[in-house]
Amino acid sequence: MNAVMAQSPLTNSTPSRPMTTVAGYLLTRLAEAGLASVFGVPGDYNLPILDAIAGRPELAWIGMATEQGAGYAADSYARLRGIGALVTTFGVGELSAINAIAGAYAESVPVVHIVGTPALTARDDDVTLHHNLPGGDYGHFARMAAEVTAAQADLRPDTAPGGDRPRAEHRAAHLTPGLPHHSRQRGHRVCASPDGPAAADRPGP
Amino acid sequence: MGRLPQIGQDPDPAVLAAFAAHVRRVLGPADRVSVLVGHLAARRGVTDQVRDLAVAGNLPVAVVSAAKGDFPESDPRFAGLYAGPSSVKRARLAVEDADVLIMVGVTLADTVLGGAHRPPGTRRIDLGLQARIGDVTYPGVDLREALTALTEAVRPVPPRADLAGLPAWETSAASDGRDRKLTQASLWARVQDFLRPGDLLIADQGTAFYGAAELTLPDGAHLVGQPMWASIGWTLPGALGVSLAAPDRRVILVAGDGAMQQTAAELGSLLGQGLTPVVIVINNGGYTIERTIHRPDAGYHEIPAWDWTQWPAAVAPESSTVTLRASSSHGLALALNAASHHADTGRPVLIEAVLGASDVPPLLQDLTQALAASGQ
Repeated sequence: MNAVMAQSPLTNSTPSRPMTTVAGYLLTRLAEAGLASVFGVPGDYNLPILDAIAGRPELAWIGMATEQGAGYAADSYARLRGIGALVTTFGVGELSAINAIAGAYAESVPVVHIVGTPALTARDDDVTLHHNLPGGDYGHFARMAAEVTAAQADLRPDTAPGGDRPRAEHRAAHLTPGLPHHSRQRGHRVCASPDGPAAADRPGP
Repeated sequence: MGRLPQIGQDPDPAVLAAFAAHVRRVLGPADRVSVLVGHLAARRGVTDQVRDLAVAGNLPVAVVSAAKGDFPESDPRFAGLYAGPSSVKRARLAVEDADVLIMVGVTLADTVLGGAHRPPGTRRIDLGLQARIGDVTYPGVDLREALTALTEAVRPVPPRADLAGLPAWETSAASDGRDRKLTQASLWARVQDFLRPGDLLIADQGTAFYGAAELTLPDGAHLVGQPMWASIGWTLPGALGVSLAAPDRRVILVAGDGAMQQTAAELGSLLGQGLTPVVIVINNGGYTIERTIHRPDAGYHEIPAWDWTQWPAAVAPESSTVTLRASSSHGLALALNAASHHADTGRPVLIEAVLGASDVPPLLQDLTQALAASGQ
């Protein structure tokens, strides 16, 4: 599980459960579903997620030259393994991959697209963060992805276990089977670890 | 959120029972029942169930190009590749002259079937994200449950006399003279000889995919392609994905020069992982598939000429990739012999196959004529 203990207990989590990060939680679920390689391109918004991958011996990080290439590789991987995943960064990265994601969606290939987004604490209506359009709306690209994905989830500590637990479990369980997903997530906030395997109906090779 | 039904949920038992009863009514009087397999069969992990159904009913089974390799081609029930009017005769008879056609995860895409062609027949059992018999839809009945119901309901029938003796594939390649210029026909004849059981052949949209679709796949071999979304360049990073997903299988990538230039930087990603694919670049001066659809001599079909044998050294200098160029059928045979040796000893191989700009495999010729006729 590779869980880490929280430095300080979260007020709304079960004290006896080990803690992990949002990225750790997601990676645990993906590995349970059969994932062993994660494709992608680094960007400053996704580096905490890449740190979490680097800390897991069961997951190999496969750096690619382009986000489109990462999406294509995750697609072909998923055709044989039943699941594939890529990590891109907010805006410039995720939009470079959107053709690949649409292709996976069109051909019913289960790919999870993980996008690292600007930290919640850094979002300010008066300052335009890089890779975003001006105006302080952080939803432009998720709305673009909605047309070519079966589901989307904005993963935050408060929607992971320890926060709104039933909703987070539902989303994590849906990350395993069947259809392309788009997930936006941050890596370093702390939440409770999964306490059991997700229900999965994983296609065979 | 999700617009497609989630899988893994049990269907309503009453809906499933109604589906099973309808299946029995449809199959009961039918003597000629055939199966057509599409891409969702492998996606949903039901290819073994398709085999069970075929065995239970002794049914002829055709595949569309998106499912090439998902039914064993050495099985006597295999009816060949169905591609609408471009099909081999055996596949066309099996699909179009059936009393009942069972379609397993088939998408009727223009690039798969040619133009807007649809297999005719009012008694069609269509299994996909939901099951449908004729005009009646059974929501929530996924491929798995539907195939179980069909296998229980089907009765074995004698082999169809009209299919007897018809081959599941038609070999168009003539025997090659030693110095004959390389053609699409001789390229694919050589690739056919090169294939081994268990190979993963990944072929890009264009002459590569449609040439590969006409091959006879040895047991356990599969064709991987993206015929419906059809984004050229998909297979170069795709070769990395399948190599990591199935590290024990030999990977053969075939793509045209136009496709390779789309995602060329990813050859460095592929070779940088220490993988040993056999890469065949069809160097035919640009977008041949588009030439067959519209104005073959138009300048926009052309692309900048690359020296493909220098490409691996530029993007993966430490990979020790063996590079070869073949412009004759005999030269390609020698290159593939060398590739067999090097791939087995852990060195990647890249072969530049030099072909004519307007030379296309027969299946692509047929399909693009249909696309052109439909105004595409």
